[in-house]
Amino acid sequence: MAEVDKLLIQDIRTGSDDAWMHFVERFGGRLQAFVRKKIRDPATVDDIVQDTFIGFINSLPNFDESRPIDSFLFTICRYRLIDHFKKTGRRNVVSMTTDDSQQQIDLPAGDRSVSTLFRSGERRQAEHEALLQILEKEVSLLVESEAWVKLSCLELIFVSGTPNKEIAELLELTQQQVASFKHEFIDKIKRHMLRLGVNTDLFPELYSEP
Amino acid sequence: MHSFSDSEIAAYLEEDLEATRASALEAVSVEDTSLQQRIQQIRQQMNDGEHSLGAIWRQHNLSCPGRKTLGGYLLGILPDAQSLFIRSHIETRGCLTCQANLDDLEQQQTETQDTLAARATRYFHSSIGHLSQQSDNEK
Repeated sequence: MAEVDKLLIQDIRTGSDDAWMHFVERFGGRLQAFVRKKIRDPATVDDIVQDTFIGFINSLPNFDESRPIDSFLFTICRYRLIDHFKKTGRRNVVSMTTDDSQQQIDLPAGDRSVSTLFRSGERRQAEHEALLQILEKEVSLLVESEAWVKLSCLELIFVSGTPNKEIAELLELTQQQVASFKHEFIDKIKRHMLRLGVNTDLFPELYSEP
Repeated sequence: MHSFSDSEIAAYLEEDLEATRASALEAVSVEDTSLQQRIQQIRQQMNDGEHSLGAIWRQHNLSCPGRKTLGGYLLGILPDAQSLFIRSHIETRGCLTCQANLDDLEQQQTETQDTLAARATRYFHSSIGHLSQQSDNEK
């Protein structure tokens, strides 16, 4: 997190009105725009953004300042949306929400992943953190080296699950190039994980077919 | 004919799938029992805490460009290759966080300062009481 953001969070922790106003000015618009992607009613949009800010305040004691504020806020916001759709019966949502939207979200590792919220055991969390650390490093290297096509390709493979053929057409690559980027990336991730002592069998995507 | 990847279904279950795709998935799942079973299976895997490289990448916004870069994208001043990446990230991958950031940046150019200030004031007043309570508890 940038130094200026750390100072902002420190001021908010002291209860500073000015710091909080600065925070809602800065993040209110993007959260509102995010919720509008899912909900049209302006009053409901505002309710969810407000609940997100309250959720952030309630989670402040556990907020990990090494993680970006944005990512943490959007995670809380998605929880609020899930709560909302669960209450209104609109979505067939995964059972990972809190019952009370005002309840503190327990995210001890910063923006702790949704998928681990109902797991017990430090080991699983450690595996998650290890993979996160590796991915952060590898994605940063791609950004720093301005390998934009490769980054697009890997993002579409792993984050969207887009088929290789479709990716090749979208990015004007051959299917062999797409498969090669994927293999190279998986090999790197596996090597990092082995070095950190993490069992690579726990990550099915590292063994799927090209 | 719609087809949905496991990654998209996981994003849907976490309210992180682009709205048009989410609506399409909901519409198809009404009658498609195999899709219903996949949704159920992926929900179970998530509840069991199974690891997913793609989900970790998405949840932590690892490839999301920063606000300044998105501003440069809007102004059309980024190198072509980087602009193409951002377009793919926003339109093809359908990153909701970056779509929201772009909408917000555009809104800042079109809305009046009074409107933006009124919104901030509204959010401030509805939450500041909780902050005061939280800091009292910590003292």
